[in-house]
Amino acid sequence: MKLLERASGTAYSLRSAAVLRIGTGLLSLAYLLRDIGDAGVLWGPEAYWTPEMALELNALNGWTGFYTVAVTESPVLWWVFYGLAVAVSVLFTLGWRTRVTSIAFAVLVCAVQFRTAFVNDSGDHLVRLLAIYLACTACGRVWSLDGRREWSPPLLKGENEELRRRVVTLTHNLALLVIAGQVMIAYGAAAMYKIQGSTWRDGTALHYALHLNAFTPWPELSHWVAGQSALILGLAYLTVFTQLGLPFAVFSRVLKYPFLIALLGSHAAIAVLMGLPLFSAAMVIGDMVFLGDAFWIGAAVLVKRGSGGRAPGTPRRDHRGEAAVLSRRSPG
Amino acid sequence: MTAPRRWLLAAFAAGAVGLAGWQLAVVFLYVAPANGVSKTHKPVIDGWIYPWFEQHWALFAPNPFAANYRIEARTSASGTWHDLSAVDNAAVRHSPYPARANQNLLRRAWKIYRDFGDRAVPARTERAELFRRYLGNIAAGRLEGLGERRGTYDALQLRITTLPIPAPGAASAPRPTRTVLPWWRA
Repeated sequence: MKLLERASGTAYSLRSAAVLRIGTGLLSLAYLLRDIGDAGVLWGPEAYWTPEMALELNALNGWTGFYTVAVTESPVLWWVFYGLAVAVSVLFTLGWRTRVTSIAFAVLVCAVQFRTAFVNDSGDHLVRLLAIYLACTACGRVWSLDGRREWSPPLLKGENEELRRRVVTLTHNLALLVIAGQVMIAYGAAAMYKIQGSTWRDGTALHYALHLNAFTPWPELSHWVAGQSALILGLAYLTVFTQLGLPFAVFSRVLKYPFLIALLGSHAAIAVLMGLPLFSAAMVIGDMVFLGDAFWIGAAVLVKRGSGGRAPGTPRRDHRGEAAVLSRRSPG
Repeated sequence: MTAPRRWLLAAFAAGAVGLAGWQLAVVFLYVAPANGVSKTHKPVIDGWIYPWFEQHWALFAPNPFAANYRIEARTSASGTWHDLSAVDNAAVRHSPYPARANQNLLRRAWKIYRDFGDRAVPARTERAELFRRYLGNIAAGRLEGLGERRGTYDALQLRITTLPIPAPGAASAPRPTRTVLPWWRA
């Protein structure tokens, strides 16, 4: 009961949740707007995967109802839907009425992705997963428009209100744990698959990856890197070991930082060298779940010192001293 | 809080913890390499995962694909082979954020057709026929951009050349292999 008291009494990592919200919202905007010129042929009525084909395959899969909500023959309806997805992504990023907006966001992200599943990659999958999980969190409490609003009256009275709050807080904490578990599983699985492969074991995997036409926007640079056998061996092993080790390293308050920095570096390299910025950014946003509020408060203080104003994300309605409490108790 | 609400909260907590644990367990079984448990319970796992929690983490693994595809198309009208992959490659080149229409679309459509389609025309299953038409639609769309307007030809054909990437330090690459698909009515 004491554990329940704590898990339903304190909403942990509110700032990490806010960073995930902002990151996921921006990634959704990138997903929608980068290909606005191709939106018609990717998802619209003129899509290569036609509305009729989308309905037929979904019916074969037994996915009816919601799964086809974005499938339409009408250009007007499609663009209204697309505009709605963009607008909700903006509102979610800003944290406006986040309780409702986060649910609408998750629904719309899923609907667009289900329209043409074949054009989505692993980064898009992660954005969808985060959107669903974030709808269960209190990701709009800080660093948001909601956080700037004055205190709103309680929804219920007395003990009912306390029960409601505790349910919300517990759900938030569990959802963050699920996000953390999801990211750990992703890295663990990625490493597990790689160590089965002969080229990851002999350190030549990157040689092949850096010669794939779809993933070499800078062929001269990629081919030069591919030719440095010691470098690509080191990078291949570093990739496997950091992915394999991350699910364990995050339990250490010290060790997690070098692992997260190594992953940040490898994703930055993937973003540039392989032309996969959205995928890389999605992975980095996912990693942010492991940075506790102590880290974000420290970062906010640094920004405050730099700019000489109120630290961004210090919610007006926060109790004084909450930051200090959180920084002591922050759950890794 | 007093007793009844405490119990309500405890009951909710039990359910929520159970759901969170279930979610992570099913996701783990879905993404881990196929094993005894995941094979036995595949219908339950797939039923929970698709389409909401679909995810794939075997990127460039177990081994990165060691070849490039050259996908070419021609129409019954002109008979000239057009290199559709070259268009994609040119669009990806020197682009910091390539469009998914160039990075993914055609190559993925070919792989889906190759893995789930059959070479019959029309295909023998509804699913395979959908994937055949999808690949055909993309080819027709690309041909349009290369001056072969829809409606000016009766049929189109694809051929796919697999160009292996030479091993590090190897003097030459293994020989390319070629798949020629049947003519498809436009």
